[in-house]
Amino acid sequence: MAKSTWIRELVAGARPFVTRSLRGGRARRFAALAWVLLIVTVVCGTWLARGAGALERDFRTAIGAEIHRSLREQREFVVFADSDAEHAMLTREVAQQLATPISIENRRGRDWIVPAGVESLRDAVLAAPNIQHPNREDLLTLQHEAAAVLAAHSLEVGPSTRSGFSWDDANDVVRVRSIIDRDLIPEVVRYQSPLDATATLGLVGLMATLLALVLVLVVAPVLAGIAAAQEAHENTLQPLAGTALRPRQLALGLAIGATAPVLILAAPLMILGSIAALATGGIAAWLALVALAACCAWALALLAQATGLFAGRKRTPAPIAVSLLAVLSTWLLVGLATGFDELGRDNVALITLLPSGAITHLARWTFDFDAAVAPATILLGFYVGVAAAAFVAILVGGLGLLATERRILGRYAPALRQGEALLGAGFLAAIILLALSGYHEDEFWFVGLALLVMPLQIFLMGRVPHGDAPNGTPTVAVAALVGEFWAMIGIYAAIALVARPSGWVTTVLPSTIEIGYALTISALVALRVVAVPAKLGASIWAGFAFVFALICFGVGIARSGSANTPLLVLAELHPILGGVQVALYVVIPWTLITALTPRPVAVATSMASPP
Amino acid sequence: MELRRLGKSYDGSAWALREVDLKVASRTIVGLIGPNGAGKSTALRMVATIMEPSHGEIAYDGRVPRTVADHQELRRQIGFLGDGNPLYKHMTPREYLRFFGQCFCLDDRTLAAAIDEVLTTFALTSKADTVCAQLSKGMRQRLLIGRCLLHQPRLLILDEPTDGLDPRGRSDLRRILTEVRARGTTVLISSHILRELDDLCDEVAILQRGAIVVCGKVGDIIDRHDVGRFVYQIRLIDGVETARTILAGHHALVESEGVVDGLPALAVQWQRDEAALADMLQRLFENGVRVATCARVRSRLEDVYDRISEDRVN
Repeated sequence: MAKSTWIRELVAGARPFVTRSLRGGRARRFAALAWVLLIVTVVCGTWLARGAGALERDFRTAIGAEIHRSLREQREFVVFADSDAEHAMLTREVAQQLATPISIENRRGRDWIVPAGVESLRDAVLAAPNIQHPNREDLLTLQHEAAAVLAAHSLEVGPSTRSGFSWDDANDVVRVRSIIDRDLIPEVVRYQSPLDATATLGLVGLMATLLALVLVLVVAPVLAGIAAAQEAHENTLQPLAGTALRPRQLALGLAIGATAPVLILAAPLMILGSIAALATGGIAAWLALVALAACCAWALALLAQATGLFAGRKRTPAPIAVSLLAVLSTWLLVGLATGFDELGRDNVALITLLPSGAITHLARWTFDFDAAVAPATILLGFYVGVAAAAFVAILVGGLGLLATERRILGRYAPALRQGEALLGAGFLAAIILLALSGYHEDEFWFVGLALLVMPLQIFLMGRVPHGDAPNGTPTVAVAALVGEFWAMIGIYAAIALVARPSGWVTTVLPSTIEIGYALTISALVALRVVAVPAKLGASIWAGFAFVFALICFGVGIARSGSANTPLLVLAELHPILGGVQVALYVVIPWTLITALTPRPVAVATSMASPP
Repeated sequence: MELRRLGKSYDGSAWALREVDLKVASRTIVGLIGPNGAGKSTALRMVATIMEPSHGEIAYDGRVPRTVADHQELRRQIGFLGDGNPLYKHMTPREYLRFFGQCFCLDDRTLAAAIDEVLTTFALTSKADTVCAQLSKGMRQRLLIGRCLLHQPRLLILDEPTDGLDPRGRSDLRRILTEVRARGTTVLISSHILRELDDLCDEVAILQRGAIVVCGKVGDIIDRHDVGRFVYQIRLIDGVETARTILAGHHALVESEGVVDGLPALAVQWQRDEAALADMLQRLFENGVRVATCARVRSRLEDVYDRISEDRVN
């Protein structure tokens, strides 16, 4: 019953916004565009999967759908030709090589294929299979066969070559088998894609999935941000707040309405992806991918929407859209790059922080484009990271939703409550420490703190009251808010202490003071940026203050490792610069606090006579 | 509806609205008058349930909404036009009304009928499918007001609704509001232009610096505060120029001249007592000026406001 009510409310909230997005025949146009996109994806995917050209081959090689051509030639002891003419030419060349074998030193182009085959057989004969190899008997038989082929062609066994052959290398064994099977005569074949029908469907599914992910994880959040920024910029939220819809319905409705066109475009692609996943047998990884992508889409759309709402009052939607597009595209591209690397101990933690990498890995597994299987421990770390990332995405999206709800009503209140900000900071601290669990350097504590500073600044910004206040600058409780920032850092320190009991804090007093100073300046900069309308000069000064804080943070870390670090680093360069450094230590916090100092309010009467 | 000791502070250091007590009877039009920044919009937003009071409460039909569900249910019965007049310029009036009708959870059939009715009432039928960006300012304003009536609210709250309306539009609005009241809707309307409200509202409340300074029926307020302003209307059969000279000699200020009931009339500010007025009239007779009538002009709401306010408004 409760569930149906929840769904009914969601539908009621989404109905006006979806109708608005798809009004005037837009639904039909988007549906048509979705079909076009699907057809283009299938055609392009099939072309890339089955095409024999260099571009298609390089693409398949890049995504791991095909091994490199030269490696294939070695393993299978074949020579690939790209045309009939090349096929004829290579056939002649191979025959010539068999007739007059050239030395290995003089090899050019594919002249080496036969001599290299001879060398492989020689090395196979000279090298002894490992005595503990489980298939040693089979390898010995193969060794005898190699010797027989050499003898049949009147070729001597020695001396040893530099091919680096090893019986323990499966590729070398496969190559020797191929050479023996072909009796030292490489087959010249027209190059064709090695992908069969199932693999072709897998590649089409991969393309459809990646395209759908771009739509859902980049385009949809950008649209949500633009829509919210537009509502805020044109002050059209107030009438909505006066309707029968609750703030949560409005927040979700706004997001769903803005992203509805994208969902229409992405739906057929996801259906195609699921069919391909069924065909390739990767449905479990596919479901994990869909779940993680949904969590990320939830978080990104609601965060972008909250960003649009908060920034939209002062900025037009265009710069907000460009900023969101830049950030989200970078996030996805870095994730794709990470996702096409082999999964290892070094990058499994990064996936926790960068779920787009995990999504790419899952896509490769779904469509069977990942040749190497990671060890169980790494796989376990991967899935723990995926689960943690999904959880944090849900949490962050929830905080974005809460902030949006409060902003939509326009009430003068902070976007986040104290407990919510502290909870968010705690989970974020935990996830960063989890991601750094493989990092064993002394600076572990500081690296985590550095990663955490900007998210904590965002949480602090969410604690500054915003909304429809009349003329005049409302007061900002600077001391209390900076105290909250330090409480968030305290939570991080507590979790870090549990995670890594030793070496979690510096024992050098100047280092502690310097890092503390840097963190306090970071908090003040965050408050300055969000609480007081800033002109260009003030914004530049706030940026400079943050850079100065980062430098202080770095110097503090350096000081923690060495007690000999000078007190005033710039004074080492020149005494005047030392004076400038001292001045900055004082001027920066003073200017920031002055800007945040309460000003006389222009409204009504004083509070001297409360009701 | 009853506002009880309503107060609002945005920052905890100053009151934007304080100690506001106001009773609004059903099926009446109540005007909220005050200069810019007096707290009218703040009060109306709180009545419209989109802003929480810092102090006090508002009872609707004797019941104070406490929960989110209470507020949600209440909003279905309220039509609120805030200040700023925001509009989706890329939508047509029909699309705009459909959007807001769906926000009030109206079913499709009811909504279609309501849209047609609003378009007809506000003379927007011919522009129903023209994007709002191409509508005149007056049409847009009519559309905004029509949106507030789409779901047939029991309480209509209009914050400065006459902004952008031409004289004809203002006249139409008065007619529409009178009809809305007749259908049983209570109207709460704010303006800083007093002439728009004094003959429309059943009751008015004048806000100054976040507090109500005067409240009640328009006639009662004028009666209560009709002191200190001495304006007389003198209708003349002839001798206007002579009369003007004599009046100037008696330090009487001629506020305006015109024609009333076919005779030239002077509106004269007379600060002295009535005996002096009689002397002045005698001088007029002696100088051949034929006076048809001389009557004291009753104060208007604007005059009352001027007298009690610290800030002059339009």
